[in-house]
Amino acid sequence: MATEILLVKAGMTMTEGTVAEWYVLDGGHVEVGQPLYRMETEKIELEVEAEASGTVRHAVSAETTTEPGALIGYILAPGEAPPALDLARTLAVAATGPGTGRLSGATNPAALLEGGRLPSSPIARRLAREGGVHLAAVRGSGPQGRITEADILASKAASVREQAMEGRDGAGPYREVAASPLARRLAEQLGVDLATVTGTGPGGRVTKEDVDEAAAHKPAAASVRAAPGTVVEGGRHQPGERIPLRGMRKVIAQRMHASLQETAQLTMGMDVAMDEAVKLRDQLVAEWAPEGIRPSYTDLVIKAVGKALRLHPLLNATVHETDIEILEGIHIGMAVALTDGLVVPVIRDADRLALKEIAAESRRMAEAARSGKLGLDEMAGGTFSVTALGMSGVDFFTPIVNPPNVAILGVGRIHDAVGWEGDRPVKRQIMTLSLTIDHRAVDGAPGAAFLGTVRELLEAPYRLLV
Amino acid sequence: MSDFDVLAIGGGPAGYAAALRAAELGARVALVEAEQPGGACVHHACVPTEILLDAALKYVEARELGVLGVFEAGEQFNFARASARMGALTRQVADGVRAALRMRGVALIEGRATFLSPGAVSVMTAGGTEEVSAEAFVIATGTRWDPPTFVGVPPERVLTADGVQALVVAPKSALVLAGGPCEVDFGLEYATLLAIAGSEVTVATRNPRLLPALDATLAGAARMTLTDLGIRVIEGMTDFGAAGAVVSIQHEGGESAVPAENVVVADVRRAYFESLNLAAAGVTAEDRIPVDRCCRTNVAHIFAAGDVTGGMMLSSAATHMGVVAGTNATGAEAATRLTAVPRVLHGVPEIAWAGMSEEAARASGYDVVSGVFDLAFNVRSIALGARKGVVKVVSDRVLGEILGVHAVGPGAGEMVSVAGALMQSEATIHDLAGMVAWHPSMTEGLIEAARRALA
Repeated sequence: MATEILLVKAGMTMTEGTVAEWYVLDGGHVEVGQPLYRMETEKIELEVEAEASGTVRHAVSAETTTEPGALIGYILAPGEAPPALDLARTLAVAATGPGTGRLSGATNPAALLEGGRLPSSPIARRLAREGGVHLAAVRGSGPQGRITEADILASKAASVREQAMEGRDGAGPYREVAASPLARRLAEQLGVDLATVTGTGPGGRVTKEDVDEAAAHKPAAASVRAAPGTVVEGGRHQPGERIPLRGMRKVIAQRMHASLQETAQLTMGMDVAMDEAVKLRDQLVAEWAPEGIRPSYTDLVIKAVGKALRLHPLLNATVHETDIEILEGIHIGMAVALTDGLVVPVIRDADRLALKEIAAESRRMAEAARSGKLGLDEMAGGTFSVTALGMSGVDFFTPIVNPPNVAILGVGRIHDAVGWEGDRPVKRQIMTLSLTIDHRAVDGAPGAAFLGTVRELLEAPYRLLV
Repeated sequence: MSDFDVLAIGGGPAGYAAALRAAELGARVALVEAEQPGGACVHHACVPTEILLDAALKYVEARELGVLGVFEAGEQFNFARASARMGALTRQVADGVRAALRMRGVALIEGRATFLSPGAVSVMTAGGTEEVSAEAFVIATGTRWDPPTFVGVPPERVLTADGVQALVVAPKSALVLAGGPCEVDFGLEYATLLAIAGSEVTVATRNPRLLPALDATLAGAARMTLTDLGIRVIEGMTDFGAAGAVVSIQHEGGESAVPAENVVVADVRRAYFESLNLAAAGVTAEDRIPVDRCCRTNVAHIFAAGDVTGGMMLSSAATHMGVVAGTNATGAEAATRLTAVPRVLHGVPEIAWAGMSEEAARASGYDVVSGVFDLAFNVRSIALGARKGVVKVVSDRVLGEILGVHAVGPGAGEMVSVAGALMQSEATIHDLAGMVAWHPSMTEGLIEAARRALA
């Protein structure tokens, strides 16, 4: 009798966990008590041991996130076949990870464990029968987890995609994925992997809308992954360990503490409708792709800040003992996160650079910063700072002014929200800007006016191109 | 257990498509219809108009060939005979609907339905009132004519589409007021019909030009389809008043007095659901019943489809919605995809389009390229008697998405249907430009326009 490997439930509040790593390969042998897989949740990381000896068959691949109690594999006795080979295969397909829409990778644990009948529509059952799809491997998207026709179609489409991915041999990555010609072109332009997109068109075909949807959710998906990633990274540090305050850590500690002690900081937030900016950026990404330049939203913000500082020079200043000096040049520092700290390379004369030049420069500097090749002079002389946490899923935060600057602008996540056009709700893409000012130099109203200018520029972003 | 799995209310395109689809999926289905299965589409709008216009257009062609001496044709268009032919052919379509329902095992209940609760309706039939329960409902009660009243024009002289169809003799003169709930201005078809049948026709619109959704490049050609028949066109109407059989129209260019024995408001409709007692079912509605892309109302097991939900107010869209609603009512899952729906007006010649005009595409922020082809150079068009026409393809420069196709000319409907098929399957303009069509055909003209957009 095959032993089922279930995702362990660690604690009452655990709602999902990730099979971070299989210690035993698919088809490999395991002895009872040996480490079998590593599970991660948002809070903890666990090594799970094998409950039986035998051949390990994976039902889900590593990096799959699912519910506790979900079937993730089998341990087989010698000569034994997996209970349902295609079930395992479908499970693996179903679990291709986040971003596959309806197929979240989670199976239907209750039904699997009890062996009862799954809630499913008559058509779903018929399609499943005809298509050789195991209902147990399909996550229902209907009411109460009821499996619908679309779930089966999506499951089949995913399976076809999976096979296409396995079978591809460099003859073009998208060849075997059912997608409309328009969807293919758009995916190419936006850099979306069609194999990761759930098709909603006839027969599970990927449509333009699906690609758009996938592209729109890319940053969000990345942030979902980034969040536990950060925790795991912190998790490398052992309880009781002492991290020496030296080097970059020491500089950050001193400067941030000094900033809060010596200045009077006030933070304010403002929502920006980014619909136009998103469109513009998509266009520019496509247009500049041949030159290898890929503008980020932060680049748009830096460009807008450069322009806005020309109109609000008070925010481009330094506070001295007896006076406030309005600075000549507009040099914008951009915070770049590193594994164990952050650095702030400076884009010089940001108000005079074209958006394209800012995009190229910020990319170069971020890469230099991450590979430790940033020169000291490239980090000096900033007159204003921009810091982005949107890619980590943050909407609003209170950035700390980087002295001797008098202001810093935080860039939040772009997310779908509801706006109003008269009485009609409309879908809007909203981003929150968090501006911290040194109240010694700048009062609330001029700070808000500056923020308003940045918002106006981002809401009618074509002005950023001139 | 309920009497039926699915009960469709309303036997027009949306209702019978929903009933047939649900039955096809194995559900026990009934359809309640208060008048005749087929609905407005079969009995008052698309089908009778198509048949009448077919006769009228054939008359124009016959007269043209008669003038050339190809054959002898009668001089008069006989409206009464055309109406009789319309009646006979319409019955054929209606019988087809009844037969399809019967063959799929859909129970037809002839009467008016009123909700008693979210799970049951009472139906007033000729034989009395019966109560019918169902697991899911599809509301498809469509629209009702809603002709406005005009000062100085007695109601009997105001004609809606069915009024025009019921004519035995064409009126001496008619004023056709353009406009309506959908982009397609069916008034232009009735203007064409009446002009061919001998009426002195004026078409007036409050819009700055006829068919605002049609690309501006084709506006002149579209207007000519009417003026060539002797129809007077007044655009930018601001007001009008009637005195006897003369209507005085104020417009941007001044004031005109036009003869109007009848005022035709071909397509004034509003969603109809009053007799349903929606409150008993818990369904909310205002001027229409709002639904999502799965055709769901605010009540999970009650769906609505077609004109009663507002939207495009087209039979084609209603049928599509009906299939989606019928599918979802059985517990499966489907969503509507209503993009690039072809719009076709039958005239001399046809006017048709799918998708956006160049102006609309630019206003939506697209980087537009377009190509125009003069159908005077198309062999099929010449073979049909050297008819004039033009086709235009509007596309996105970066992605190559076909944003719109607009045509005035012989086979405009054919070209736009081909384009609609390509647009709905998301082919790019490169696919269209590289397509192989039959020769000679109008589709060749469409391909040529696409090639010009890319040149």
